[in-house]
Amino acid sequence: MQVSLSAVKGRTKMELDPRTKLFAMIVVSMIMITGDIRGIGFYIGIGIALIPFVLLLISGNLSKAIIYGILITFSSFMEIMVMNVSGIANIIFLFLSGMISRFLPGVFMGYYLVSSTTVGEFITAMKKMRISDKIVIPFTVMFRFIPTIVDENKSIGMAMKMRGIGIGGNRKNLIELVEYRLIPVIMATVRVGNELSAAALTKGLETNQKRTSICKIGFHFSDLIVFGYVMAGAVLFAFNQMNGF
Amino acid sequence: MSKNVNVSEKKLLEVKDLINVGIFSALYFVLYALTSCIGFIPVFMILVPVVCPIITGIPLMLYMAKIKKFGMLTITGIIVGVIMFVMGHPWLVIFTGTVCGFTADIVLKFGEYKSKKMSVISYGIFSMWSMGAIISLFFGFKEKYLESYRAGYGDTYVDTLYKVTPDWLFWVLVVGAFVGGIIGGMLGIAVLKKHFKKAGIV
Repeated sequence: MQVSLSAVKGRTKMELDPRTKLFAMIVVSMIMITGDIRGIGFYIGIGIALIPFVLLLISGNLSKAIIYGILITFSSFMEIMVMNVSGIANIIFLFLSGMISRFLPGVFMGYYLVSSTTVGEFITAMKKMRISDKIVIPFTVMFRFIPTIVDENKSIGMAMKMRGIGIGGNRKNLIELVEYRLIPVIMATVRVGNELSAAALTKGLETNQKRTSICKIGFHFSDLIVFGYVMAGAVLFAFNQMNGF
Repeated sequence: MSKNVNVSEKKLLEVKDLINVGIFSALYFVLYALTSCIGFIPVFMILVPVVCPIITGIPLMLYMAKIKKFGMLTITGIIVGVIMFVMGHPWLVIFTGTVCGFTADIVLKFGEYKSKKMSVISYGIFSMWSMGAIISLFFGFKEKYLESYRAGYGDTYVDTLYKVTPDWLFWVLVVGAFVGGIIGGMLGIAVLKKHFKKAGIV
């Protein structure tokens, strides 16, 4: 599973500027987390929740788009059903659907952002926003690294299961559980990190010259559409929050 | 070669340091996000700023053992703040992230990057950034925030949240985050001694 900022360009049909993606992500997670699901707010929520679905679909990530679509449809139906149920069932339904509809769009938007952007594009876009190297480099390393951590964690989990360390294993002490899982992961990650710094040195990242890039970053017509849609959603949302229609 | 020596004498951040910032910010953030899943249990949400620093103390103390220059913790604070903001928290979290990171940096410099006591205190201060993420439950933000939850989570949940979050609790949580940081820091130092010294990582 490729979750990191990829090094090579996949077969994307529509190119979006990383800045547009970033803007869309902020708006989507903000509206979904603080949003209201009653009345007009419900429809705005649906409209905004559609953004990650469409973007994932267009970028050729069919399986993720379908998973997301099913989950979000499920939670929307739950939210409609909730109106007719009362008591303890109401709380459970509300909570489940609330969790899904509030956090999932942001998560999948983030997934889309990192899976459809190459490292080069990301750095160039950040540079165009005049962000200092001191922020850009750690950010890039971080996005590149989170999948590595997940990967290492998976392998170490398997190795530890073989030794009977884990939930259901013969060592049930919680502190030991944390210790024997966490420390190998940290060690492995630090080691990979050292190699990364060596690689960065050989690539000449340390010279204080202006970076050049072969990535062409710029706003296109597709950016305008996405930007317009997201902006419309944000304005409607702000309007709704203020006067409640 | 002589140029390199000059650069490190000036205590400027090099690419190597920036990569370290990235790695440990990633470790910190992943662990923090995993631990903060306890917040999904309704009322435990308020405990997140206290519990998380205890677990994340382990990578952070290793990070602090590697820090020899000013500014690295500030950058980590900014990064964590920005990511929390992008994920839908109030913008104040960027501010608290920057301020706590900067203060923690000063404390660390005070101990000349060697003192263990100072690095534990510094971590305690750093942990307080999470107050920026939870501030919407208190003070003037409270009404609006909780009312938007009423539709989403139902009356019972919101009423309970009202009951368990009086304004004074915020200050208790600030202290709680600091104490959680101190405990996590000490735990981290113990782990450092037990595991990483032997492996030659520190």
